[in-house]
Amino acid sequence: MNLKRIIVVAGELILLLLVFLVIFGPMMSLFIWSVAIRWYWPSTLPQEVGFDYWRQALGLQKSLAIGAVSIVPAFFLSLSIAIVVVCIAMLIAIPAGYALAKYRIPFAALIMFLFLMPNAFPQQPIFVNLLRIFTRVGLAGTLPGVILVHILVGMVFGVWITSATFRAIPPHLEEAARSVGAGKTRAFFRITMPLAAPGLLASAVFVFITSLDEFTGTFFIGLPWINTLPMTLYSSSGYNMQFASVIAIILLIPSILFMALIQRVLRAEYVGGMG
Amino acid sequence: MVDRLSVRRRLRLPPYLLLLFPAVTFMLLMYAYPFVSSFTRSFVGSEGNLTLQNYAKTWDLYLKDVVFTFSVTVFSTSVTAVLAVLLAMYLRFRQSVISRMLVGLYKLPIFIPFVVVAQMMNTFLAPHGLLNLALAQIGLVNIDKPLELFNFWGLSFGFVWKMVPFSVLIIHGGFQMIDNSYIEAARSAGASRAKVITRILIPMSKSSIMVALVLVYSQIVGTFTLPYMLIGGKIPTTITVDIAHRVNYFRDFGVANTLGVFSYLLVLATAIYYLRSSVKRVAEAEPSRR
Amino acid sequence: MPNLTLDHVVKSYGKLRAVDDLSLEVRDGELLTLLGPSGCGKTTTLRAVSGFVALNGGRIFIGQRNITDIPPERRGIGLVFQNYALWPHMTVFQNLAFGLQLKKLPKQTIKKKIEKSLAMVKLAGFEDRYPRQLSGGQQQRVALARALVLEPDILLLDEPLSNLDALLREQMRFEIAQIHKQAGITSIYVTHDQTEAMVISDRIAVMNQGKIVQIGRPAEIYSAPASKFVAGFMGTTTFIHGKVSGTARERIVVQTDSGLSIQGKGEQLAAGDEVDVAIRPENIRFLTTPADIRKQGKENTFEARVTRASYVGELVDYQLDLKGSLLRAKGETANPLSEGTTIHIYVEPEQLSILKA
Repeated sequence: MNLKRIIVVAGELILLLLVFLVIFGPMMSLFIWSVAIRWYWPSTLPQEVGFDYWRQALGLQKSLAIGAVSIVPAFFLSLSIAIVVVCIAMLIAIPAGYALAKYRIPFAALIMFLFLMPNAFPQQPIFVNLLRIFTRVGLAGTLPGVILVHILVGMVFGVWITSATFRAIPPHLEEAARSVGAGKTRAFFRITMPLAAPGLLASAVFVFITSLDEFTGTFFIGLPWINTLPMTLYSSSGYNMQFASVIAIILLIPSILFMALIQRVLRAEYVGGMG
Repeated sequence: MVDRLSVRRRLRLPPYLLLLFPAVTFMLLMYAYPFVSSFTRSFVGSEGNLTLQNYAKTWDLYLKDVVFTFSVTVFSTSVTAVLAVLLAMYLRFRQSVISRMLVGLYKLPIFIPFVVVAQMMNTFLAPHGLLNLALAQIGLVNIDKPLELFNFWGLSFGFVWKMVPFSVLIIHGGFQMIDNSYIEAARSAGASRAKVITRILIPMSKSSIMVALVLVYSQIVGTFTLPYMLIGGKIPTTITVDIAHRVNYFRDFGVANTLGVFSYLLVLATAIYYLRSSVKRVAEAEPSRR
Repeated sequence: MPNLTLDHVVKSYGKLRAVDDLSLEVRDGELLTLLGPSGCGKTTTLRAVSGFVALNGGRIFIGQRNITDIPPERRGIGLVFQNYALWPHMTVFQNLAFGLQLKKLPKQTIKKKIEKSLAMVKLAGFEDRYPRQLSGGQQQRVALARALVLEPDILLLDEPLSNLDALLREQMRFEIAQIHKQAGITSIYVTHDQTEAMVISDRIAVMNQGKIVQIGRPAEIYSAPASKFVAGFMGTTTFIHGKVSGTARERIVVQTDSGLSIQGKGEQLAAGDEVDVAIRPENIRFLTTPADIRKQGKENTFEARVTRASYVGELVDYQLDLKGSLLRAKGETANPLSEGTTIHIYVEPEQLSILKA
């Protein structure tokens, strides 16, 4: 009995170690590079460490090092885009999610089909054709163009999460409010919305982070003028490992923070975008 | 007064139309229209005529890359499937300090965006990157001949790294939905743990496993960021990188869309399965009547 | 058929003793019910026998075989669950065949055994149906057949009828009792429904807080409860508090707090003991004519006032006020008594249990 127990626990420890190494290995790599001033192969650790690249990225220091510029403008650009995207996307997604959850719609299957397609098919061809269309109407390389693309990417999740949120609210709660005299609108705002608030908030956070991290769409539509944070990451990764790593970490932190926070509200299926 | 009332009575538009209108219109304009374009444009040649020349050119230039994309995808999806099912089984059956730590730990890559993953892998898998460094220290790799990973293997590693946690999330969720009594009934009938897994647990959670695999498969086919930053223009590369090249260097929307159609073909089977089963599932969960 | 022995079994969850030093012998072929309120430990005990709960102390034997450390799949125990646990992706036939296939029996044998099992639960011909095509009652019978088809040494049933509606439950009780008689397997049945327990059990073990408080045949448990808890659990009982004033001819005389003198039966009681008199509705007799009242005499005859009369179909449910104690009584629907009436009642001392308070 005891030997079996020891083998099992030993196996578990090895598993834990492996998972730890696999998950944190690449992350450690990023962190080390972000503070490496000089690191020549094959030394285990950088010969010289420092926060120079961090200081330059944050705009605290200006230097002549290649590609090490302040990313503060890019950060604020990404942030503002994300905020605008969340506002518009939620404005569109919440009513749609409510409608899908609370009404028996004859063509509901078709609509669901439409919103599920982005999960089933690669999205890049969409961006490519949007580029072509946007070029014709003068939206290519513009801020509104990028915002539209971000809304597209985020709205699919937005509609699914909000509709699931509304669906989870028992209808009799609203009906009870109506039975004591509340009108439809009042019942919605006093009963349904407060109950849906956590899920809607989670949806908003999801759209926000998706916009912050969005790369592919921005790459096709935003080049060369719109430089969001992911774009600067991409462009610096070609020639400056340390700087790129700094940007990667800066992008990493809000993503993990927010997602960890809303993880409790979202169920497994929605994180995967399954709907 | 009377006129207004009768107008209102005639225009009894269901409220959901107004609620759905913005979202559906947006999707039609920004998604459905470009989607259809990707098919129609693939048949438009450089002179603006209807032709198959794009397909001919794609076949000549990029067939190898289509095969490459397919093989990376199939390989990564298979590895992901095996690892995810094993891990999910472990988490379902084992309640220990370590398993609880793992439950929190494994989810991390889910929240890391592909751009950051790409950069991570860039530093980690590089010839002078952390992985080669560590392996050289242990002696598994020759210092003068580090592993070249910016290829099929590095790309697969990146995909598996990102996709396994996501799959475990879904599959483990499926396992957890199976009430203990089904497992106990099998064990009291004499089934060993292994038999319980193969005859009861996996068949009963087939839908979760399939959904996870389908999503992983189509996500990998469609990913641009990781192959672009990891492999870039090297040969062979993925369809997504080729599409980017075609657009950025040649403004060749014909071939770019043809490549897009090829990628659609790669996911056709999984897409049909996913759409059918998802619509069925959501349709079964009846919305509250109004 | 072997018997089942639990020897000083203990199961704790942290500080809580779910099963507290429980010893029990289920005789060869008998159906013993563990009866008690939620949290009394009956389900934990059952799961310990099935092997899904590891004990903190004690041993379990099937016949002479010590199964305490044997994993569930090798104990040879049949399990019937509250939610049936029929595997939804398999037909009725496949559900029943599962365990038989694991034993590597030849196909013909398997087919024959399944036919026999299904016939026993009156579901012959249902082999190719899927669980979702069956009603609740049918699913439960398949679950029973699945456990029986393996011809286990011990059969465990965990509140199998709780998910069925009242009418079906009543029907299924008799069927389960009948099937058990046919199969003759040593069985433990768990339920919180005392009527169910009385219908199907050979013996009942009433449990509370991890211990068995009384064990015996259904009639004994009902008419001679060992404690206030058991009395209150079985049937509708009213308790009247008082003190033992004397013992006369195997009869205990109790002076109640409300000033009544009641005679009943009890054990190990001495004058001065604080007791509860347990009165059941069916034991209260109405004395309607003055002749009856005179014939009865003074012993255990009381005057009470009707405070509520509810017509319940086949009888009238009364609430009587006996000097402050509210009793439940049953009466015929012909000539019902109306509220506010004062009537004489008589309770047979032999049917009154005097229990230590």
